[in-house]
Amino acid sequence: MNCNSVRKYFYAFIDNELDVERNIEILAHLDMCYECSTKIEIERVIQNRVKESVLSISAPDSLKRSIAVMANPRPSFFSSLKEKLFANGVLKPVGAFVSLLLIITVFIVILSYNMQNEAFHIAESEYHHMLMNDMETDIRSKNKNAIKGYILDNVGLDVDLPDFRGNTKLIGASLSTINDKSVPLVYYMIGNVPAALYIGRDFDLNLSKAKRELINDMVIYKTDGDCGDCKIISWQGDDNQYIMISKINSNRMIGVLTSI
Amino acid sequence: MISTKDELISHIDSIYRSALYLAKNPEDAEDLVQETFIKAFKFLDNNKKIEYEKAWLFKILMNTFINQYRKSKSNPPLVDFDTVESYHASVEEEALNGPVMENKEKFDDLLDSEVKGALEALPDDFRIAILLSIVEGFTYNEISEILGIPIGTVMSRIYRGKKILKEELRSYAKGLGYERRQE
Ligand SMILES: [Zn+2]
Repeated sequence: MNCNSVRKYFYAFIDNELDVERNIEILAHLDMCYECSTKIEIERVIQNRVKESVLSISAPDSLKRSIAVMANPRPSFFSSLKEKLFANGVLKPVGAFVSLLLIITVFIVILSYNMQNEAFHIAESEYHHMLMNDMETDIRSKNKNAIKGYILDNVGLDVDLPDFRGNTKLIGASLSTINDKSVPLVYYMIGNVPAALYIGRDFDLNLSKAKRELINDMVIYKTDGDCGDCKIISWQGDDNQYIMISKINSNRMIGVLTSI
Repeated sequence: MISTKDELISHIDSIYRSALYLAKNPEDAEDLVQETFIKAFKFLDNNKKIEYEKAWLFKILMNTFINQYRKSKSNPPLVDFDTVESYHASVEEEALNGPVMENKEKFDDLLDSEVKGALEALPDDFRIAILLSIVEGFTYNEISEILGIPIGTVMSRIYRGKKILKEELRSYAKGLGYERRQE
């Protein structure tokens, strides 16, 4: 083999892609040809540098955490809600003794916060603010797990986010303050109407004037916002309380929340 | 051998690196990685068996990327560069159209600038083949599987891609005392 034909095989040689015979031919040539062995050394040095440089990139910790969360999902509050509401694809009628027990428990827990509905007011004014400002999100993503990771990193809350049907899109999230606590706000577009979802632990909600809808064993509270246009729904998840605000009517909100 | 989710997760850095080069900005890269793992976990949950998990994950990554690319009409179509001539033409065109990368600063921080520049000089299709070969150590056969292209195309992309890389990084090699003679 002459130098030119040897050099044609340089990359395949470095990459171990040659058959045994050709490999031996190349090795033999490199042994006696100073020029070729220098050239192949250069190729190796350059490739190693590219390799080392690219290998120094690693995935961000927040991404690693959210992938780890995805690998071992807890049963989601929303998926169980969906199952309860939509057995056989039809909204099941209210009833059952279990439901009654649950509503009593939830009610006692929530009524013990017998205070002003500051959270609703703040949530609504934040929603208006958001409409005015064209939604200033801290993170923009349509990916549920990216948003979950962001909330876990910044507020330390491990939250369930609902699945929505086709015409509802996740947009992003930001942080807000309600009752001196940092509260994550998740933004959606329901059709072309924005909606905001507030998630937290200790909203001081007084729900005595809110309408209660008992859909199987889930209690969903419905109320009007101060502006009259905004509708608010609220419910208690496994760990967190949820407040959702939008200008679409509350039954439609409940609808998109639970149907897929 | 049956892979576990933990074994899949052990490849996250590799997947992220390639996603970053495909999506060209960290935010989209993260979404791409998430999608890839969601699909992979779903597959595992259905108790399906995987032969060689790293190559398999990369194949999911590529498919996810290509599907997203097709869906978003705002992005330019995937160009198949198969001649060095079209490569030069494309570099000029790219210069005219301005930088492709969003969040360029963030991306810059991640890689030493010389290598980054050299990799950017490569056409997209060459670059991914080169990364799979040099960085991730896949064989030509595996790369052909991952990218869904004939092995001959893999070989020519790698051959030409590595030549371009060498041209771009020649001064570095010189600095190390190689290349005394230059023809
Ligand atoms: Zn020679």
